[in-house]
Amino acid sequence: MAIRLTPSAVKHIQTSLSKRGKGIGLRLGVKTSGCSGLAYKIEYADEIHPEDVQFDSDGVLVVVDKKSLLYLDGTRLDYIREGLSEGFKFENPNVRAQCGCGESFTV
Amino acid sequence: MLLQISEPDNPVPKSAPRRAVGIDLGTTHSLVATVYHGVPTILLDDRGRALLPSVVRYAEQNIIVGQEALEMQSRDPANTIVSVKRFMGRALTDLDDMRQFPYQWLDTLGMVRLKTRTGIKNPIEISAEILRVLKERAEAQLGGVLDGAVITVPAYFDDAQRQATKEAAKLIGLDVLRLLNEPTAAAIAYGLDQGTEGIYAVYDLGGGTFDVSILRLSRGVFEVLATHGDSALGGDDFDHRIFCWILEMAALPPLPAEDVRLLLTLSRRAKESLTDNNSVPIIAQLSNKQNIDLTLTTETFTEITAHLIEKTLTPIKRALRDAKLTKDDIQGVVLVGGATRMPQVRRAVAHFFGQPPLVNLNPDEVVALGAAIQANALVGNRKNDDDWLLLDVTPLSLGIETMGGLVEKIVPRNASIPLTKAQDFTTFKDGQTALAIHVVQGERERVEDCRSLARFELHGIPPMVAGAARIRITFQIDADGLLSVSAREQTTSTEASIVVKPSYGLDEAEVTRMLEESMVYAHDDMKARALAESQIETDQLLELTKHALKEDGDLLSSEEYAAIEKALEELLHCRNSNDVEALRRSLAHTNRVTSEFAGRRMDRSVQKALTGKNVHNVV
Amino acid sequence: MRDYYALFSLPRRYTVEREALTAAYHRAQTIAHPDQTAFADEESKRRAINESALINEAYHVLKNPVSRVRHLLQIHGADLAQGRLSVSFLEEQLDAREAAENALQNGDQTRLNDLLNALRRASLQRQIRLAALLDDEHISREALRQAQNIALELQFLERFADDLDEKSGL
Repeated sequence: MAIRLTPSAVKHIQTSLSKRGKGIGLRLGVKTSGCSGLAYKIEYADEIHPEDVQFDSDGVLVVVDKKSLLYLDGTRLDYIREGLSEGFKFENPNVRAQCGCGESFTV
Repeated sequence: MLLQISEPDNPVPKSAPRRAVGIDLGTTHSLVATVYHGVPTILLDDRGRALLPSVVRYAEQNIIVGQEALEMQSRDPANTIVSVKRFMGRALTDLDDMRQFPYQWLDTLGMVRLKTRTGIKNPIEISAEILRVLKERAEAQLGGVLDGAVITVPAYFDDAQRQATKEAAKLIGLDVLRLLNEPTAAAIAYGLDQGTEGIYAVYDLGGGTFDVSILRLSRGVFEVLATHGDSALGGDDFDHRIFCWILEMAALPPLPAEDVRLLLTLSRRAKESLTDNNSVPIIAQLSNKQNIDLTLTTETFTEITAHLIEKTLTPIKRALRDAKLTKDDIQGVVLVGGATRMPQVRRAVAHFFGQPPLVNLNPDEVVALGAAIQANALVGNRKNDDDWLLLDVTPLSLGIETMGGLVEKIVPRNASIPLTKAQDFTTFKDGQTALAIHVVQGERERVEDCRSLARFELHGIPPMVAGAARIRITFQIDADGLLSVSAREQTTSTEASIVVKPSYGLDEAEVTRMLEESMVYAHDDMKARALAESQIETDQLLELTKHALKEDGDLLSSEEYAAIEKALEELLHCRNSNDVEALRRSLAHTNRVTSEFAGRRMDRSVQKALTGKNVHNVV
Repeated sequence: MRDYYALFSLPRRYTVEREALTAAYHRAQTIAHPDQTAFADEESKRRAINESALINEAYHVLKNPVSRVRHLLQIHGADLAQGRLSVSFLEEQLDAREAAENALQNGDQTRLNDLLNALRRASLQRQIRLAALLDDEHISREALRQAQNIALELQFLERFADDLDEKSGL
């Protein structure tokens, strides 16, 4: 499997989905953005599009479009606490440079 | 920086719907159709015609396809190929009457080949030329490269004929989404048109093939129950009967090719004319100045073709039997194919089924329309409530040659596809490391009476005592009706490597030659495509830039704004010319002129994004 | 071995309602069929072909009375091939086959139709008895043994009927 979710991430996603009340899973992707050009995207997935690839991670459906998958292959998604904030963190072996604001990256 | 899950921002970022078409590659005519704004539509040529005659002429300097080629038939018979579909996946020995075709056949093994003024041609590359014209027509009208096509084949086509069809599409870079059986395509067009559930029979008499399929439509599932046919029976044969009648009545000796073509053409016209008239004159002057002046009546025509109609009833009975149904179970009969316009065909069908057939859709167009509907579905364009499924069957039994030239059936005819069937084999000599399997298609008991599909050679079987090896061969027929084979030695779990020698395939040298030749003609296509693609890119850039100016025009000084507007004007001007180079230059220029603007817009949006954040969230 | 009844969520009995089977078959194919994965990756496409082929196999096995009973017996640990045919049954069959050969040679269509009808009646009788034996949740060893024998008879009768049908009609 190309993208892995840690148990902590899986738990948080499941909770979030049930709180939201709808959605078939999680959609991961990359989009163009500020500093270095690309940024991660985490959204609720409501439907599957023709170019999507699907993974099942411990019962959570993860949906990624083909183009994003090129960048996300081998990535691990974790849900952690850093200081006073908590949220998702991507660990991507493809990433080379990281922009100062920590949000976007270049592969 | 830690992220949170956000709501999906764009509801379905549906890039423009994909471009998919349905192609009816017919014996006599071919058509291309697409689903346009939800409506299945035939794409017309620039003269407003739907039908492209399946005629390919190899002239001195170029290749001519269609009506123009058809008109030159009698004057250049050896180089004007008509009804190429009849030769797809066929060897010289398969063709019954060679005299009716004025081509220079080559005596070769495997698939038939013929000699034209520009070299040796095989049916695959000839069919490819027809597909090429349809592909270009579609791309021109849909504004870009096709994402794929569903191409129809007679339900009774065997594996070799299907492979050949797929190869033809591959040759011109057309992605085949599915090979669809013609009667099934017609059923889709009718089923979705009528919307009534039930069991239907499709009687498809084309130019060169006859198919009958029995389908059930229930809750949006089209399930083919049985299919039968005759892949060498069609409207052409009715023409041929008239031709023979003329020879008889006028007591003619064997004729030169031009005269044969002329009389066949007149025969076809006579057949078509008799649909609406009681008699038709047949008048011609042969190359030796001899005059033909005959009158053919409907009565005579019916008489001399009665046996052909009778021939179509047998497959219907077989299909009903295989489906375990009687003709009373049939709710409706659909007629497909131009040849079903003949009154005696309609009468025979109505009489057999005890009900008038359905003829609301144009019998020439219905197959292409059905294919377009499926292409649209496969490419992901259809809406959620438009849910239907197609379950088809393989028309012929699949078997392997065993001792004594007999066939052991491993897959019965009319089995639902996709299917997999495993069969175990063993070695008969100590240390044997290879095995040969001959696969055939057909219903007969003896190998020589069936169609040879391919010979599979298995290598890499671990050497063992005779009879100890257990080689499991798995036959798979996919949704296109095409066979693939894999093998595994069970006791040691080794995958045997398989060399396939298709009986009617092409060798490498031939494939290389075909590709090289198609490149020459493709050059012109490439230019046209480059233009189309640049035009699309231009439209998008114009749209985006105008939007950007509206939103963030304030980021620019008045000189900068004016410079961008000027570039856009130039771009628009170039877009409507046919000069690819000029358009490309203008695009590059516009991109340069707007890049600074793009940078400023990006900074603005990053600013917007960051200001909303809590200081704790920014690392 | 895959339990085809479970695949379609149908009760494990000899009697299968045609409507229910067809509906389950269509539902399963609507999800698994390769046409639903036209733009997916190669792995998904491969899986779809295999899954769809399995569903087709399951449908046809459960649809046909002989393959159905063979499958059901297997699920209960029995085997149709272990069945035994009575001498009287075998004699009856031999007579019928001889009569069929004659009728075929003489082109006696009436006689052939009579034979076919008789075969169909005999087949239906076997099917009724199989339903009585195999429609329950718990089946005794004795019932299984009897069912094996009757199933083998059914197979004989059906093969004969198919053969006759193929040779006589067209």
